[in-house]
Amino acid sequence: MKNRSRHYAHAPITEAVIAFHCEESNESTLGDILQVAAQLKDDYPKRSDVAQVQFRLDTAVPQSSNAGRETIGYKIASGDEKSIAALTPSTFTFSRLAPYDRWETFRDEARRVWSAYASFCHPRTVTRVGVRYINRVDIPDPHGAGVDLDVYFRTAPRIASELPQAMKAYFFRVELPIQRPNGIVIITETGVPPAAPNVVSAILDIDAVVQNVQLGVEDAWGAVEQLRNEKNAVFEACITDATRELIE
Amino acid sequence: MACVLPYHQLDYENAERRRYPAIFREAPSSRQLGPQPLDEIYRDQLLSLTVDSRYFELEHVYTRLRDQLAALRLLPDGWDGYCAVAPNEVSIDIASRAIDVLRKANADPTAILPAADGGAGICFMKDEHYAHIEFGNSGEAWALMYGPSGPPQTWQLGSTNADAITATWTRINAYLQS
Repeated sequence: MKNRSRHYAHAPITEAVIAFHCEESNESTLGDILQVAAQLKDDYPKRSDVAQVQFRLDTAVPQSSNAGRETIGYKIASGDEKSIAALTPSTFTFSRLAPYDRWETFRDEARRVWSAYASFCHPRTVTRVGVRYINRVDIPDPHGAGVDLDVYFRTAPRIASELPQAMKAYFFRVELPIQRPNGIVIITETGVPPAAPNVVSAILDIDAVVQNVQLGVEDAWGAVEQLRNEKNAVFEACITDATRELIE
Repeated sequence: MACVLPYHQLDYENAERRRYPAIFREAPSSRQLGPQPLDEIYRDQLLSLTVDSRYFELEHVYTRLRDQLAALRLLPDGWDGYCAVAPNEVSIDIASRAIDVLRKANADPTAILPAADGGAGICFMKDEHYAHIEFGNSGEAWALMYGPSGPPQTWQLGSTNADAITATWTRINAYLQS
């Protein structure tokens, strides 16, 4: 895929995510995550649990079930709740909701939070790296007649011409291989409630991932840069000039 | 295979009932139903997107809230087994607009429930703290907050416009985080 990247004045990014799965050190505990939260408290004052709920169904005894809620990590958020880090001993996820400034700002802040995380949790290696951008394109629909997705997207669901072309809802997902780095890009398109009257809001979710790897920290951040380039190329390939006009 | 019934078996009244159940008050009209709830499979697909994404996590919350709000249109008077008045279009419409405002603020409501006094309430919970904004059938709006310490706080919103809802959410959010 060609590396094509453009800056758009009204980039439709609703969320940007950098996510690592790690091979955790044996000593890493929830207490370490709490120390990360304490260190970053000035910039990330809000904290909530990341919980895992487990159900056990015993088929031998009808209606018997056992549920347990376990805290497996913590989510910390900035005062405006637009920058969020979800931390467990084996996962690091940093996300930024709109408004999104620029890649360098986002990446550097993610890396700062990662440094705090790594200093307490000491992950051995990174086993999965993901760079995900969720774009919401708000397409004008002044008469409420609907919009033709093909006008705005070059990757979109296609319906046989004999069938009704008006979609009530859609969910379109493909996984494509990428070579540099060796991974996949997951493209998901779906509709969401309109962000304003007389528009149709369409999601273009691009998640570039490498997994089943054993990367050191520097290599993992190198993969982040490569995945970001792949993500940009996919975005440019998926949209049409009609979309570019909307976001320029 | 198409099948034509003999004419003497046709029951026109029942046929009309089947065609227009809402007119015969045997089913809610599309107006009463409001936006149709999402198909379960489609909802599960949306849920799959919430992994690592706060945006989709919130989208999922608001999809559920909008379904809950639409369901309020089906409530009859006396829905609580006593004399509670069902939410009317005034309260549902204001609550609907409030949901849009809260969505833009990335608020995370817990549920939308009918109010015993007539109206709809948007509820928030965090740990042992609770708050709600209640939109009455008369168009008035009130907020309530309470928790394990301190007296409950309640106040009337001066308006139900976007600024007033945002300001109320800011105050509630600060309380929930306290």
